[in-house]
Amino acid sequence: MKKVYIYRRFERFWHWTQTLLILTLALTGFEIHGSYHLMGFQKAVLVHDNAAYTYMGLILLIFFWLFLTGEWRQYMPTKRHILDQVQYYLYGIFHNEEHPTKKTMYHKFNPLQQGAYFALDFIILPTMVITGALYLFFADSLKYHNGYAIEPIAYIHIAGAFFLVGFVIFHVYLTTTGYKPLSAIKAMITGWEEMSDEEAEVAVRENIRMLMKFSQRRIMNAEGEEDNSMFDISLSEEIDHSKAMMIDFQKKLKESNVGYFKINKDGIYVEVNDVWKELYSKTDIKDPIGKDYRLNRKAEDRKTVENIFSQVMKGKTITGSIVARYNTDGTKSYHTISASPYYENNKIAGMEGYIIDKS
Amino acid sequence: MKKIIQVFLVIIIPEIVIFSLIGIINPDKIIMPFDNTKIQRVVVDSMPADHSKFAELNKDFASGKEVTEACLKCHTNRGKEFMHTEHWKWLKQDSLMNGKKVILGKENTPNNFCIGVNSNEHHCSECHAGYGYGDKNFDFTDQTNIDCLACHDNTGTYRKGEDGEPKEGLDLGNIARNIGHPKRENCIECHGKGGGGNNVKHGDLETAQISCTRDVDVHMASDGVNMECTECHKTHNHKMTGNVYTLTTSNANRGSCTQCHTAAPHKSKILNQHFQQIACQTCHIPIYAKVNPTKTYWDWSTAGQFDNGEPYKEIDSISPTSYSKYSTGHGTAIMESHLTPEYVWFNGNAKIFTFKDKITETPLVFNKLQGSYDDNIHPRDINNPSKIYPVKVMRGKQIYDYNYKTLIQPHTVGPKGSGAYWADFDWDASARTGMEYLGLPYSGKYDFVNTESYWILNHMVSPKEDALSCESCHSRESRLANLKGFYLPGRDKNAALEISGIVFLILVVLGVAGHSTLRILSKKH
Repeated sequence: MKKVYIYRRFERFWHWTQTLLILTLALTGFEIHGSYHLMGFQKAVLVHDNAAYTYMGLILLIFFWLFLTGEWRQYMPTKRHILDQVQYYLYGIFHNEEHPTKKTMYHKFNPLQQGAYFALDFIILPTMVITGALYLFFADSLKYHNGYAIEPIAYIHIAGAFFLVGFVIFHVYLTTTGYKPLSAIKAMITGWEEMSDEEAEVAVRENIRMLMKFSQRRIMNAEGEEDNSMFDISLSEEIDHSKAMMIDFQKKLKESNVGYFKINKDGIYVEVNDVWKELYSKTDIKDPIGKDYRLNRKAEDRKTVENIFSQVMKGKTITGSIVARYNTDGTKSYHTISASPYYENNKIAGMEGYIIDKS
Repeated sequence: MKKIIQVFLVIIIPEIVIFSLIGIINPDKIIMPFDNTKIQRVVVDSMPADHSKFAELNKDFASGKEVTEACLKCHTNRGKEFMHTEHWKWLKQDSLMNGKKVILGKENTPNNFCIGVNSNEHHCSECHAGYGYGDKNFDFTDQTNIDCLACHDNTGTYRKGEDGEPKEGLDLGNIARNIGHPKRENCIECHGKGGGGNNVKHGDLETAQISCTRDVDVHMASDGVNMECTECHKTHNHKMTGNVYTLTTSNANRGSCTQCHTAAPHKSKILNQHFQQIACQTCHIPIYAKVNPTKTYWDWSTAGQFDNGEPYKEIDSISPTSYSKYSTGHGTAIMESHLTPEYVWFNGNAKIFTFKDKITETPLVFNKLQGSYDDNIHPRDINNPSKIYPVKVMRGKQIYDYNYKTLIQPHTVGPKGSGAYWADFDWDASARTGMEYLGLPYSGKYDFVNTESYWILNHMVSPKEDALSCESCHSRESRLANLKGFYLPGRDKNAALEISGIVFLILVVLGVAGHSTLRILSKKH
């Protein structure tokens, strides 16, 4: 099991605020509707109104954030893998099959979630906000056919409320379908999601690709060809990510089970993280700082890393190349390497990248 | 550790802050509400002269008329002034919503208590502010017939008897020397006893309010502000403010709570908004007939039964707060106390049924209070939109002319052989005598019709702690259950929507339960 960083701070803050707001609104809303007596009509109305105003503010904040960051694209519904996902929930999940889609920071939702969240964020919630606002401000003035619009407005609002309660039940249940029953909820609290090693690797690699992409604005595979195929679903135009987010993300990657390294333009290691050292601990290299990047590699791998280094120094980004490590006991371990140039004064100052253990 | 701190900073602390604010902040609260203690009470001048020192009054009086003559010697113009008022004429000019003028009063308007005064003045005039009103030949132009003492007696001993004359054995001299501004007991002596007994008619106005606690009536309470009737029913030149909508058609000369309280008296904005739709009385008179019972039903059609050939009376308890009573002369009645009002939309106008009107529907409504939700949203009169008012609904069954479809004025008060029902117990003779007296035709065929009259509740205002809560109306058990045609949050639901919603949620829960069960079972295999 590994943990991968999926949910950013603001997303977690927004999610839990939204959760509590929806529960508060539902609890007080159905009391106002007359379904039960709990805190009293007057208190219920006051709390409902306060929560509604707060939610309107939060929604503005969320939409602002979604559009500023381009994250809204994650919510656009897609048909891709949708049948696989349906098949998974109806069959695969009972037969220990893997999730047909993988969760990454940049692609959090499976196609069914995308559909559901799209409906939630762009249909149901706006409907609730609009009918709620009409109810608050125009209850007695809007005419509708022969009667007053308050009645149909109220009933649309109530229908939306039933939908939302149903959504919450489904949503909470489906959080239990992660790696472990509580993995998804823990992830939404801490940001780090528990995953199987295989899923984690995919997720981390995706995250690295995205990071590379943001810094380079293009991606190349090990053979030096441009490779955008993996991102045309939702992120191909993702180029204006904020720098602050990148730095935050870079930090998170270093904290993942991902080795980080930095090599200057002369080919000398200037920085590695603890995970890197851990991965190399079985080799005879304990501390690479100040050493040449070719280290102890044998001829075949030597050629690969030299190729990567020269490509990157030309300004390319390399992802997913496989490189071997030679352990002191004679065995070999493998890792994938993704690397991109880093800049000082707008000039390429060296290469930095990430390695993920494959053994 | 770092993660826990981060979770605290990102989630727990913000949520605590946000939801504390949501729970604590009350945007509905009015920071500077109207201060009730700033209400200016009506200052009544002390008596300008000590009437006990007047030579004119220092003697024994043989009759009420003699007292009035003495009054008029000094108060030379008050008599003529008083003769324009309803307390004297028992009639007033009013206007209908279409602008037409009408003359209305006890003279031409039936009710569903004792039905009407015509031919029964002998008894009814016990509450007329005059002396000698025994029949329709009473001289309304003779100002010495005015009864000053009924309203101005301050000894509390003055009582009226048949034909409106003072009861025998009263010390009229002493009463005359101790007159003053009208007190609660002067007004309540008649207005609390209409319909044949204490609290029978209004339900919210009775002798208990002469001396009561705040629980009964915050305004009249002896242990509270102890207000006199005339503080609200402001009076100029003997002309009083206030209407009773069983005898009033137009939205004029009304008393109102806002004479003292503002239109925004609450500490809550939402409650103040309710002022647009809800009369103050609706929330602040949650129950009426708080002390003594009021009559809610009077069925004249059962009258005329005898016990061994003799008229009889009988009382049967119905519940701790209600009983029925039967008498051969009156039929069956129900008396109830601690009543929950009924509610109507009302804009200050009413349609009054007179003896000349035809009965077109049952129950016959004597005073159709005008108003609707629509008239609240788009009112005819922008300053007087319809509002929801609490009412006592008096229900009855009384005699009408089967052929002419008009109500019958029965002759009830009189000696044996006069056709008076309470003496002869003969409906046909009673109807014939009464209608002849009134000058209206009677076909000879009578029957009984269900009737209703609506009595707007204005008195017995409860302390604010006892006012209705939101749930009284905004709940499935709403007090406003009978007011249809508008959506009331908490009260109304759409059955189809409700059922679909619940079925949807049941399906969701079943789906989740089924799916999770299958998952657990598949894990075990």
